[in-house]
Amino acid sequence: MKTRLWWTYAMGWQDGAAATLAAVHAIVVTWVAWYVAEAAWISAPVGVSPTPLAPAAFHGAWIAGGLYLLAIGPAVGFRAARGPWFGADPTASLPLGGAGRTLTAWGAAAALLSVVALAPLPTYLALLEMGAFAASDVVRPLLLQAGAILAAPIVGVGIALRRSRSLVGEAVYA
Amino acid sequence: MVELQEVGFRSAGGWALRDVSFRVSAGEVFGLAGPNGGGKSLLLAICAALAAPHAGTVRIGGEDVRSSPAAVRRLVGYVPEVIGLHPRMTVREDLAFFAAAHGLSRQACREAAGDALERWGLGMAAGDAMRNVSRGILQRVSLARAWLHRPRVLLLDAPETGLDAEGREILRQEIRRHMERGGSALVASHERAELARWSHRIGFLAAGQLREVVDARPLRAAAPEEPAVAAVGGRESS
Repeated sequence: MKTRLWWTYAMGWQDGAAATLAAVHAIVVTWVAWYVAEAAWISAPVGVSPTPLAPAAFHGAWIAGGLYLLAIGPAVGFRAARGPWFGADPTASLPLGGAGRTLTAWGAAAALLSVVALAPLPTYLALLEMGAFAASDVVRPLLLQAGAILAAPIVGVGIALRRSRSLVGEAVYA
Repeated sequence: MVELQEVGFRSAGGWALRDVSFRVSAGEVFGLAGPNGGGKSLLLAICAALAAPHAGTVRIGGEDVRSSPAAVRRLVGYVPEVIGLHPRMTVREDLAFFAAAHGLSRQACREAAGDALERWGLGMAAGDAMRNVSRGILQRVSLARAWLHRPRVLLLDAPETGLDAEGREILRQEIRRHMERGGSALVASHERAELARWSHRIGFLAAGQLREVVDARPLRAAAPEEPAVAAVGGRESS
């Protein structure tokens, strides 16, 4: 019951933020892919077919996407750990364990980042269609992005839980 | 039920609390009065196991706040001065959430939330999002949260803040019910007349030290009577 509640409310606040982060991710990946592909076309001799696209378009795109996930991961983890509370965290005085809070925040952040990571899927499908990469080339990018999704929130969660906006601070400085 | 022995707490500016000792028995309400920055809120936070004292011991129901914080939190109902809320939860959802966090079953959560809504006069606001309710309703919700799991010890920090006459009357009744069940309470407030009505004894905290502890009865007799108080005064046990 507690786990379900924590999960519900850890995720519940993030809907607007998730849409924004996902949209920016899609734009970043698409822009990098387009930029690299266009650079390859410009340098190609006249009359050469634009497809298949240079593999650099795919590699540039997923590396940019991975860096984006790494960049936003700590902030997402921080917000997930802080929870949805406006004002001091009222759950600080409840008999709830620190391990549960940490795992829930990390899980919520990783789940949100997974959704954000899927946002540029249409761009990747377009790149596949245009021959920038083969299906067998996606294993390494997938593993690296999954690593970023799992690792990046840890820093933010850690900072948030160490410097919690607790009721104690409110009491000491009231 | 509540026992403090030579409690001290250091903050950046020195000792925020020093050598604070007193006991609160079952069925007793102990008031804390004093100026801003005197240490009232900090003392309540320590009793709620939110901060460990740097000196002395604090025991709630026999449990030490330093070594058994989770056990202490199960025993107490804490109303902080600053209310934290989930802006999109409704009042009913908020109460059910806090009931669940105390380990109540799903059915018990629903019942506890419904009972709290009725007791604290929150029925009309049950479906309102927390971000849309008034300060007084928020305070009632904060009080209702503390009572949800029938704690043995109530720690109330300025519980009257934002309450209208009806809200204060409900608060008095609930404190009295809590006492009659054998529970005890520590209540901090700047309103001495109100504190005198609730408490058996009042301790005056200033500059982190407990200056004196007095019997609240003479203060209660001197306090101006409110019509709502008169209405329940006949049932007062002390």
